[in-house]
Amino acid sequence: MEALRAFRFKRENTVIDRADPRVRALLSVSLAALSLYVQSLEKQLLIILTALAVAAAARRLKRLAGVIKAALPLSAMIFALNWLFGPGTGLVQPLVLALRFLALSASLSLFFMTTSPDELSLLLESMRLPREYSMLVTMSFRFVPTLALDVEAVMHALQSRGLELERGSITRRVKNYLYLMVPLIVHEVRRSLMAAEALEARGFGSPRKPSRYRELRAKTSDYLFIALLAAYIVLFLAL
Amino acid sequence: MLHEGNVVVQVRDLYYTYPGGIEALKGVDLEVYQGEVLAIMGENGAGKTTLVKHFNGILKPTRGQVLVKGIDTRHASVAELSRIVGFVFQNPDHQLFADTVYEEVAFALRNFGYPEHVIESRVKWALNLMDLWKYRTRSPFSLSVGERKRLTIASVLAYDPEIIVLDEPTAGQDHLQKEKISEIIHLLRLMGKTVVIVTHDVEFVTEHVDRVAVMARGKILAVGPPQRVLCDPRLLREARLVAPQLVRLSLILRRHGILNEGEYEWRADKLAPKLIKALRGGADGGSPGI
Repeated sequence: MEALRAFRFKRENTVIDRADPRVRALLSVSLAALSLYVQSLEKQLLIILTALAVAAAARRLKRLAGVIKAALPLSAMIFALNWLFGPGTGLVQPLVLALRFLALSASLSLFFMTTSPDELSLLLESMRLPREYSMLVTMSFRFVPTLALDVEAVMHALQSRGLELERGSITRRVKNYLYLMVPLIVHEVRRSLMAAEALEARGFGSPRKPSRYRELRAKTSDYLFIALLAAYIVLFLAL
Repeated sequence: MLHEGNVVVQVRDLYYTYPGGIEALKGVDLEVYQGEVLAIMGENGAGKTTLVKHFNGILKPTRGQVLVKGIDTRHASVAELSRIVGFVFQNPDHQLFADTVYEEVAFALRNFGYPEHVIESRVKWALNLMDLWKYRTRSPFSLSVGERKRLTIASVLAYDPEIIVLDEPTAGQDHLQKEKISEIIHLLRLMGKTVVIVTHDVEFVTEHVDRVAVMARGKILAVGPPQRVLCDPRLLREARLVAPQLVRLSLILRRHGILNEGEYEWRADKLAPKLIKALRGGADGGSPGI
């Protein structure tokens, strides 16, 4: 559930929110690319700290910390698997991989936390993606919080009939979660069919090119942001 | 029917705040008596569902206490409490998952560890009661909305809980389905079950419940028989509920002097003779009528 919160957007009025979504995308992609490129522990930590600093500027430090906390078990698993079955024998390489997972999670959720579905759609269309596909992506993100509520409702319904999700052996627990999947999938498929009908009823898919109320225009502050980011990348690589 | 001394659910000064910070319940006190049918009413967001989710421990109090048959819900698991409190959720699609109707009903019984021969007889009993035995080999998802709703009730009745909570049982149901739900509530009453219904449907409530608890903004405004609670225009306005049609008609009749001040008739069979008398009186040159 905590992991699903990573995709929940809440509007704030900070310097990060006011920036062009393309700039925010560039920031997240740059941090993720740097994380994939560098091999040292310190630099992976630096990327995570940078993401946390940006989140603090965007008044979302607590939420990003929550996302990192939620990603910790998977990160621990990456560490353990690489340590036990990886090519090297040291601890450094598995630790780098585990931290890289955290850095990637932090930098990408930073973007989704600060970008509204509308902005995401504008961003994708500015990248020449057809409307159908941009709508597909934005709707997927739009429904993540709704999905989180559905997961909760289904969990409550099953618990009320005596299912103890966190009890028993590992196989038992996996099976318990399978019970959860069936009503969820059925419910979401039904919901998506309804959403498709509602979209068509409002003219989606018409052959005319749809107009946009808001269009993306880069401001001076956005160019400044890009310059700062470029300086950060240069410094980061020079370190 | 009502045994005031026999409290099965006791809610004491209950506060609940959702993880997002929304304070849904602000000091709720309520007692549910054995064998009664209680309706919890109020506008959307009044805290009705949040309150009943405390009865089987899905939600645990932020402050205060909920005792179910003397068990403090803070110290019991949902599975333990569910044996006493059966919860029928508003949306049947949130809980159906099995391949067949039979398996759907057997699910809770298996979770509670009943032997297979008991499971078989109880599933058969519950499905027959809800008129669904003929569909036992079908997928739950192939049933109609009303049948799915009845299936969720059957899956709860099968393990025979003492208290049954129905969350918005009449929402989105047509007249025929509402009639069937009325019959089910009547049946549960005959079986001696305690029934708690969360609903907006004032007409449904006037016909089927012993007591009504009216909620607004996380608090209980009034608890009492529907004849009293649903005839209080000030209270209904505060809870943003609309009075039952016959109560509204009674108000008009009072203004015309056909009913006395403070007199309400909330049953059609009792109001009709008074109306007929007033109309005949008018025709005979007596009182002016309506």
